[in-house]
Amino acid sequence: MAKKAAKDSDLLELFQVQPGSQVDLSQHDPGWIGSGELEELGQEELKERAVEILEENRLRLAEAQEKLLAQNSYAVLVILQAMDAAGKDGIIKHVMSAFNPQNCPVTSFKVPTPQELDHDFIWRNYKALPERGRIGIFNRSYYEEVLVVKVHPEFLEGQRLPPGKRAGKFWKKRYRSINNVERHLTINGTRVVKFFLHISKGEQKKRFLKRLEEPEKNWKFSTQDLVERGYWDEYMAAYETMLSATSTRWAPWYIIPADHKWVARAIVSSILTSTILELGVDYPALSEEELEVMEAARLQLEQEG
Amino acid sequence: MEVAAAFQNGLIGKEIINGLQVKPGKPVRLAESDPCWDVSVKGIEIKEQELQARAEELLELKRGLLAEAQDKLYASDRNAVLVLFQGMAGADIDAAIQHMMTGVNPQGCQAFNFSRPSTEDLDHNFLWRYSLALPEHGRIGIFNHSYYDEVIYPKVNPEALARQKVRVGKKPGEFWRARYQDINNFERHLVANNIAVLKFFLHISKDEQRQRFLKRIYDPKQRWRFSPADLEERLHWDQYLEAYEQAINATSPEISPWYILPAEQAWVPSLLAANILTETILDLGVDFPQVSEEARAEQQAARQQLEEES
Repeated sequence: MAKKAAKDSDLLELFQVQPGSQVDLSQHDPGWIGSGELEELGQEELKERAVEILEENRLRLAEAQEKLLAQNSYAVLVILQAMDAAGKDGIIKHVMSAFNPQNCPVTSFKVPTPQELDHDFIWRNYKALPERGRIGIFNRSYYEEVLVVKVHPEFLEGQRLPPGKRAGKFWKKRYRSINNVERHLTINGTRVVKFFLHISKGEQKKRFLKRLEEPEKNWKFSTQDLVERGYWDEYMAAYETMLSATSTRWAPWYIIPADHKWVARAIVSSILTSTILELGVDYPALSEEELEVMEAARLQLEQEG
Repeated sequence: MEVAAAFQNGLIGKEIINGLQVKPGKPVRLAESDPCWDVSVKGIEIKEQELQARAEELLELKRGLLAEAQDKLYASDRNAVLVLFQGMAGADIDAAIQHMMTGVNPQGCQAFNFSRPSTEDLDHNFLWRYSLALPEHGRIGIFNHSYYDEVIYPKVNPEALARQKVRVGKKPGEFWRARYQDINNFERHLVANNIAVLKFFLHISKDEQRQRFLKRIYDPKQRWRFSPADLEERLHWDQYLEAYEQAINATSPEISPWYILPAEQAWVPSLLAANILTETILDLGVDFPQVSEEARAEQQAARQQLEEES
C-alpha cells in the first residue's frame, strides 16, 4: 500500500504544473509511457498493463468515492480540457464508469446559448457545480473562454461585454477571475482538479482519419474540426498561457500525456484517487448517543427474528 | 421451467420480461409476489450462491449490449428514456442503479436521488421538482425514488400533505384517484414526446428488510446508510405495501408499465433492469446518424486534406 501511494504522488509531481512556472508544451511528451519496464513493452502489452493499473485504481477510486459521499462535506470538481479527439469522452467513460451515476454528474459544455450569453462567462458552469459528497465532471468548462475565444476573439462580440480593450489586460483579468472563483470553491469545500489531455498533432491526425474510416464514428466528425486543426499553433500558445496563469496552489493543472489512451486513463485515475484521499475523507464516526440508538435498533431487529 | 432453461442459456427473453410486467386488468398482489427469483427446475434447486454468481456473469456479458444501445441512443439525440426505481427502505436501489449502469457511458446518463422535499419543492405542485430533472434527448434519466413517493409516503403520513398545503378533503379515495390520473397523464405526455418511461419496483420481504438493516448496523462502512427513522417506518410496513400495491395497479398502462423485480438476491434486479432497459432502447429503433451525401463528400475532402499533410 505504501509503495502504491508513493507511486501516485510521483505521478502527481511529474504531471503537475508548478504554480508560478512558465509552461512550454514542447517540453512535455504526449507519447510518454513511463520509464524502465514500460518502455520495453510493445503496444499490446502496454495497453494490458495500463488496463491493469486502471482496474486496481477503479477499486480504490470506488472506495474513495464512497467515503466522500459518506462524509458529505467535500465536493470534487474534475475539469477536462483538450484538443479534439484527445480522448475526453474515453476518460469519462473508463475512469468514471464504476461509479454510481447519481454521485458523478457529467456536464458537457458546448457553444453558449443566447440565454447563457446574457450572463457572465462563469454563470452557466457555476450552476452545474457538484453538491457535497459528489464528483462533478466538466467536459470542457469556463476555460474555453480563454482558449477558443482567445483563438477566435470575434466570438467576444456576441457576449455584449462592457466597452473596453480586448487584449493583454483583458485576458489577465479573465485568468484572475477564474483563479478567484476556484479559490472560493476550495475554501468552501469543493476541491478543483484540472486535466489537460495533451496529444500530438500527428496523433490527432490519426484519430481524425479513424473517425472518417469507421462507419459508426463518421457522425462524430465535423469539418469544423479540421478548420480548428488549422489553428493548432494558436491553440498551443493559448494553452501554454492558460496553464501558466491558472495553475494555482489550491487548484493545480495536470498535463496528461494522451497519445496512448490507456496510459492517459491510468494516470488520470491515479491522480484523481490521490486527490480524493488527500482530503482525508472517511466514514463518519458515531457519537455516544448515536451508538446507543444503533444498539437499541440492533436489539429490536434481532428480537423480531 | 422456461425461466430456468433460459437463465441457464443466458437468454432473458421477452416472455420472462412479460412475466415481470404489471398488465392492465391484471392487478398484482405484492404480498403474494415472490421477492426471490425462482429459477429452479422441477425438483432441482439452484443454490443461492450459484444463482447470484450466474446473474453477475450474465450482467457482465450483457453490459456490452447495453453500452452499445446507449451509444446509439446518445448519437441519434432524439429519444430519451426515463428509468425510475421505487422500493421499501433496504431494497438497495443505489446498488441496483450502480450495477445496471456500470460500463455505460456516464455522459449519457442523468441520475437523481429524490429524498425529502425542500421548502422550495413544497412551494410547488407535486410534480414540479421531478419535471425539472427529466432527461434530455439522447439521454437515460434515472430517478432513485420519484413522483410515486407522492402517492405513497403521504398516504401513510397525512401530515406530509399539510406541508404541501394540500387537503385531501372529504373523499380521500377521489383525491388519490385524481393523483394517479395526474401521474398517468404526465407519463402519457412524456411518451408522446419521445421519453420512454420504465418503472421498476424492487420487491423485498419484510424479513429481508430486517436482515439488511442489521447488516448495515454491523458494517462500519455501511452504518452511515442506516437511520433510526427507517425503523419507525418499518412499523408501517403493511400500510406502505398496500399503498404501493394500489398505486402500481392504478398506474401501469401499456405505454408506461411497472415491472415488479424480485430484489432479494444480489445481481438479479440489476440484471433484469439492464435487460429491460436494453430491449426498450433497441425497440426505439435508434441508430448512429446516417451521413448525408453532402457530408460524405465533405468527409472525403477532409480525408484527402489530412493525408496530404506533411
